[in-house]
Amino acid sequence: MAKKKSKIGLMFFGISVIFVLVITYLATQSKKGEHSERFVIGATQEPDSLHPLLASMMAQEVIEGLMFEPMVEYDNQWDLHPRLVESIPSLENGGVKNLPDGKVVVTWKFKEGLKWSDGHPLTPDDFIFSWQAELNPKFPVVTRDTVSRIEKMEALDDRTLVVTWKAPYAYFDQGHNFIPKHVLGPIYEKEKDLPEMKEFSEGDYNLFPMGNGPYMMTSKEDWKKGSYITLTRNPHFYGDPGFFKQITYKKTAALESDFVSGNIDAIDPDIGLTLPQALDFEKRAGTKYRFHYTTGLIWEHIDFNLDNPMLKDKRVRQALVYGIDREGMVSKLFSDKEVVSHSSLPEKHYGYNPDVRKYPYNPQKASQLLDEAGWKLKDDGYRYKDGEKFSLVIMSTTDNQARADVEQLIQADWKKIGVELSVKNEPARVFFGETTNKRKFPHLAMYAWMLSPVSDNETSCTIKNIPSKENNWQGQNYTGWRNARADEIYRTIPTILDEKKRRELLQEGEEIWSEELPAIPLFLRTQVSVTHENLQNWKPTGMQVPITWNAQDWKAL
Amino acid sequence: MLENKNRKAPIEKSEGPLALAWKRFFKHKLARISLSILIVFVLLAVFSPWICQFLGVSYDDPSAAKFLGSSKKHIFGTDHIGRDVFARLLFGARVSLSVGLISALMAAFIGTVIGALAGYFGGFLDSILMRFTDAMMALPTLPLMILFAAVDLKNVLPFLPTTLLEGNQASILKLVIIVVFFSWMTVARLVRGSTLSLREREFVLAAQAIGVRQIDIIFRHIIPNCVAPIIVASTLSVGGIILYESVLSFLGLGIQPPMPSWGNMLTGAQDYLRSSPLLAVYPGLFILITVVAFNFIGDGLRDAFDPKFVFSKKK
Amino acid sequence: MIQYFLSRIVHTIIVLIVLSFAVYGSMALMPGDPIELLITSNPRVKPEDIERLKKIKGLDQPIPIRYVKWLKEVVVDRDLGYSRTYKGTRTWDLVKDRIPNSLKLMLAAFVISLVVAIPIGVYSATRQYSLFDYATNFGAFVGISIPSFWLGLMFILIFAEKLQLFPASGMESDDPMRHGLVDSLRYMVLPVISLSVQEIGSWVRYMRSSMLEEVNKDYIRTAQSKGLEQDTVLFKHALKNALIPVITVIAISLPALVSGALITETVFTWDGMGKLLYDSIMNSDYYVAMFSFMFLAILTLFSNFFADILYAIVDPRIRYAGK
Repeated sequence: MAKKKSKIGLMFFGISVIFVLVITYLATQSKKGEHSERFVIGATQEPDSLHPLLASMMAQEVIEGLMFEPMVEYDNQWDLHPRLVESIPSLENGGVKNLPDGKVVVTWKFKEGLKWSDGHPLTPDDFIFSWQAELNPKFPVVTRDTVSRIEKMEALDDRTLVVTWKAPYAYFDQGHNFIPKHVLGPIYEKEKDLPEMKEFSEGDYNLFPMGNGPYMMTSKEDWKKGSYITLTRNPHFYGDPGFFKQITYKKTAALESDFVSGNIDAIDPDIGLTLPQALDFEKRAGTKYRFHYTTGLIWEHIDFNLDNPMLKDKRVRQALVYGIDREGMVSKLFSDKEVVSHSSLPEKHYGYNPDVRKYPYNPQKASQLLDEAGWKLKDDGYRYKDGEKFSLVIMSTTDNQARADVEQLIQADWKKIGVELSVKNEPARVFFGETTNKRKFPHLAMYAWMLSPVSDNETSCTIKNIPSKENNWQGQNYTGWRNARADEIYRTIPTILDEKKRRELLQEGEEIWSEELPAIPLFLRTQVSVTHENLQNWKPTGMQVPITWNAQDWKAL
Repeated sequence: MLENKNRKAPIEKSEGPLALAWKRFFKHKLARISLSILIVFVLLAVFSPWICQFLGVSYDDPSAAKFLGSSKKHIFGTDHIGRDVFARLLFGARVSLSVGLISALMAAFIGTVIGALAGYFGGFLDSILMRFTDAMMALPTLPLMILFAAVDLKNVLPFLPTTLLEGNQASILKLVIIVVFFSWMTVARLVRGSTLSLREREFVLAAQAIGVRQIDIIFRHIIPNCVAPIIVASTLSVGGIILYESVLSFLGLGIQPPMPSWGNMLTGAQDYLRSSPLLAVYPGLFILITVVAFNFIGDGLRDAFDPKFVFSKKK
Repeated sequence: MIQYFLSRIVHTIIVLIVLSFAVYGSMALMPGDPIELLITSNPRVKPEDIERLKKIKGLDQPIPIRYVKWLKEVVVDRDLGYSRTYKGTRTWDLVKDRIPNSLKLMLAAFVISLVVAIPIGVYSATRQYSLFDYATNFGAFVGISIPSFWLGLMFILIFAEKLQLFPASGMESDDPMRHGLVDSLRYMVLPVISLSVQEIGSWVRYMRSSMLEEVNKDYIRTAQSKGLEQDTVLFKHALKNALIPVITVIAISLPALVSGALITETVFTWDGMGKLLYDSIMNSDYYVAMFSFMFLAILTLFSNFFADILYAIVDPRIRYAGK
């Protein structure tokens, strides 16, 4: 139709040239970011709130580690240290007294000159105020387990807090919450008799809390929703000021590219890269950066439903564990960076017992045990007993790629010992909201427990914590484990004040646990954080204590 | 020109309209190529167990080393736990193609029934059904799909047997229901349009006059005459359905691993995007090729059934 | 005409109300409330705690009552409520930054799609059966068939990771010193292009076929035979007429842009309404999800409404045909 280049052609050509030019120009503008006195931590999550009493996410702990200095704190060796107080009360130093009526009185002595970030003094009244608020049923704190064990809290003077416990409680030394009474007190007074405590629980303190830590927010605008939170040195901090003038917490989905391009200086261990992502990153980055691998407290395991007749037999459970190549699994999925677990407690825990029975991969032994239990191999390659096929169902969450991979590997391993495994995964909301907590899984349920340095299996191994309709689905003994001695041990531990005594009991409990195997211990998740070579004192803890616990000691050389 | 016409005349007499359409379809080169590609895909999907057996691989066997490159045994290498990528793509094809075709058929059925009822009876029924159709077309589809995909089937369809409501069956069933729910409208509109003109035609009026039941008129006389637009619209909808399946599975709301689908293979590959980008490239390419193929075939069918367009093309 | 407008408006409002109830109900039918999930993250949480928290949040009430309460709060009290994901944040405070972000992305994609699609469509129509025409047709088909999330991933892989030309995600640099137009534009390049591809694909096809129809009409041939300049004919007559149906088609396809934005925003961590909607559904953040949903629904329904009205004005016959 057209013989020469028409105007449309020219216009079209012109537009494409302009596009190409603009995009080329934009592409040349990629520069590496530089900042010296600012330090940026990158993570994948954003906190939902900064209110120290309403915390429910790890992201918020990371910020809180900067904004709040607690009474006592675990370091990366899992040793408990006094922070705001002069010492940790104990029976030996007289800080703890057993009363004749079974109550226990604990006296805490605070350091001198403690202040909130506005300069207002921090006193025992702030702790008492927090305790009272948490007891108020209209205030949406997640759990009131600890606060309801306290009979009363009193201030002897400006630096002395006396706590009376209703009964001996092993974990009296973990410290107490506190919020600024001079800021929140008036709001609480105004709202405490109303049907809803809207402002006190949902108001500004969630967005712009006042703390006492090495860093502080200077205004509400420091939190840019969806992107970052910037904290500045707190002039009223009682300890040495931090090296960095500002620390920024950045939420980003592209951790690796942001780190490489200098937008962030470190990747958070708890909510940063997944292990596969980090391994992949390290493979390409080589020794350019420092990768910190820390064995964490997230314990992956598979619960047996012990009410199932097939799984009631101890030999069957042991055979199933012998039949999984957990070392091979860790090597394939996590390049040997995760640690195979043999019992219910991690190695750094004070009650860990290194001498428990272990189940290294041994398919012959597994087959032998299954034979003994009456499950005989048939021609189709699977085991049968009284005409019933040995076929199990494993359930887990759908949003977790690593769990789907583990299931696939176990499926292949068990096929070799004649056990059929089918997979039935559910969204986390169903799995945890319906299946595990009401014990609706037929055979196996894979998930993780978040342990702590004082985990004691009380809620997951005692008989009264087997969830049932009768007890209103209370407790986390989802396996339905009923062992008289274990029950006794785990029931009494939380009431024993002496740590040595608790350790002995925990170690005995571990022995029973790994002999009876109410669950298959898989591994402890490893956390990875990435920093540049020149950063000093970056000490991941591997537990809920956030990486920022010692932020005031961080230095860049 | 004249010569041509003269030569064609006798052929037109001897061949039916479908055969003619088929002939015209084959003139569309891209549609022809697409059809052959799709036939290959379908054959691969159907025979995947035997193909895998022949190669000595399996879609759920993680015994090989991870991240293997392409080899004679592992044509596309292995994934992050050592499963054969080719086998997974083939089984993924089974899932994606069957979800796509089944959903398109169901959507076509629902659309046809609604369109025919609305067009044939007219009046109040027509206005209600068409208002509903219009409203459905105007909704933000993807956000609603995501929302519905997150709902637990057990809460919505408690009367179905539990085996259908749990595990993999549930995720496929839910996916099909959701996709069908949002895909029937185009067919409904087209069928209504055709029905409106068909119901005034002599053969329908004649059938009514001799007292044929209305339901029979709809199914015997109206719907068979709407086949062309239904086929075209349904073929075009398959591509869209496969895209929906893949995006929902990618977001973790569709087909659940370890069952492979092209969408959830991409989710898994995301973590290794940098070091093993091919793991993410293959499933995406398969989706792309399949969807393009369905769209070209739909386009070819439209040309084939629409003589006006062909006329203008010949000129 | 006015009657037609009114009935369309009433129709739209009814759809909105029904939709809002369906969405609210579906949110409630999602299993396992996040409050119940607390129990797994903290062994100290007891069933009593769950009951207490549900009562505080009003989640112990049946769905219709909660829905009516929500509707009353929004319509009567003009209170959009607090976010559950971001405690202490009012829904409005959360979305007021997101709406412009989304609009920015969608508008840029819209403009680029138009500017690219219309010339290509016109150009290939005037050169039917040329190599360019075939390439355009093929490219347009690929454009509408490409899975947008995969395209996004490939863009990140190629342009952000391998070539390091553009940032992979986010909206602006962290360093305030570098903020500015250039910085923002750099962050927009990849999401905007990946969002535009599908629209370009479908609009090119509409434009091409609409233009083809015009070009082949008798009046154009007459004009040409009279010796009028080729471009004058094309621009003054054919293009003008060909654009009319395309405009309505474009208005109707705005919902696709909204749906596409959800994926693009999620893949590129762009803080817009689409991503907010996705996150809030996943976290059962009722107030935010409801607002985002209604926002997107109103946007879509009114773009349809707009398209209908436009069509009715352009082609008055439709008013009768539609009845």
